[in-house]
Amino acid sequence: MVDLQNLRPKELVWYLVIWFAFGISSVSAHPITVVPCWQVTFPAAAGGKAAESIAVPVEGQAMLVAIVANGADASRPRLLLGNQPVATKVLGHDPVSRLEFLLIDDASQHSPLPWLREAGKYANASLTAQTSAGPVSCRSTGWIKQVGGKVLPLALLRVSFDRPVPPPGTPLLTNEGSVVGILFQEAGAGNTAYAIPAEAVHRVQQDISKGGALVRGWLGLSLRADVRAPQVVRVLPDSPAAAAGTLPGDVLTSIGNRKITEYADAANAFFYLIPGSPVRVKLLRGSQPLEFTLTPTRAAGK
Amino acid sequence: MKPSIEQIGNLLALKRDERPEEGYWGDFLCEFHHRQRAKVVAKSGFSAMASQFSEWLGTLGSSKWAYGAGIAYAALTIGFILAPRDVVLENPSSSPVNYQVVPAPSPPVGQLNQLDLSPSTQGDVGEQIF
Repeated sequence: MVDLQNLRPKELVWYLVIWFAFGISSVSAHPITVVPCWQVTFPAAAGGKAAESIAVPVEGQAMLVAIVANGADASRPRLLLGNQPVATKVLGHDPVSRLEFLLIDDASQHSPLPWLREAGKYANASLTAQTSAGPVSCRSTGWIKQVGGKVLPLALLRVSFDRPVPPPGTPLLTNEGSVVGILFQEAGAGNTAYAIPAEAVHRVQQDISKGGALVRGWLGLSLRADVRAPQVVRVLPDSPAAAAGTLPGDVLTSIGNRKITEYADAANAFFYLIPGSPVRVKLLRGSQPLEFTLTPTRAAGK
Repeated sequence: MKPSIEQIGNLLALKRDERPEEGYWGDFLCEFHHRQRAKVVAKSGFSAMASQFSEWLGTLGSSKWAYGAGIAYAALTIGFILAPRDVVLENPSSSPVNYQVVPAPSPPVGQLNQLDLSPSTQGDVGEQIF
């Protein structure tokens, strides 16, 4: 123990410095972020069941994003702020990512958190889940591209908790307080969960803000889901891929800034294609690396 | 002085009176055999054989060295023959098998069009157009 009564001035200075540094590190590790707790409930759809989600303010319009679980009616949300009902309107719902964007009438209630553009840097990092009961420590442990024999339409983050998993929609924050993603659902094993990364939220928000629905980009490339290699099986005629000169047998290596090593990577990269926005596609034809610039078109029926 | 016939007769009569009582010799013989058996039992097993052997060697004189060397050589030979050696296992000759182990077919990988991770959901298999 420290004998404070007989402490020499030099020692006292050192103790003060150490305690000050400890205090600073504690505060920086857990920033005090005052987040109003938005909650939204969705009634059961026909044959389905009701669902609840945390709603997270997003940057831009007075808008919240929430998760609509399968079987819930996304068209009739009931929004609460601290158990008080708040008027809201559905701006759009994306059935692929199950993200729903809600508009709130009173813009003064909208206090958005800063969002990261991409979560990749924090795929393996200590994070904080901002729950209604306060911050909860958790850790992201990599990407999930496939569950069982099912390839996901977009890669999710796997998150581990040392306590029960918070509800869907709960934002995951960096130590600096930026949103990395939002919880999607429990993984079903231990205290682990899947989370939708920030870039997916941005991608869907961009289209829903414009037209109320996600519009997928289309290149006209055919790949087999049961073949692990990201190899083009067929190039559809009159497609952007055909116009650029892509051939069957080409192996994709990157789409945009996303590296492709297997089919699931390609499926994830295709989710982020934006119609009309050119994208650099790198591939291997035999052993020869090639690079094309393709401009996705609007996917039919999507 | 030469004894007289009368003296000899008296002496014989006295000796007849000194004869052990009847059954004495039978008991003596039994006791003798009993003690012999007890002695043999006390020198049982290896010690009896060793003592017999040493007694036998003692009776051999100078030739005991030749016998001893022969016995030692025989003992070494027997020990060498009976000493355990490394066991060499020979692989059994392989014979062709008439059947093949066919791995269980893995479930086909499918593409989910929506984030629905419920176990009952099935993905689209085969070609996917992007």
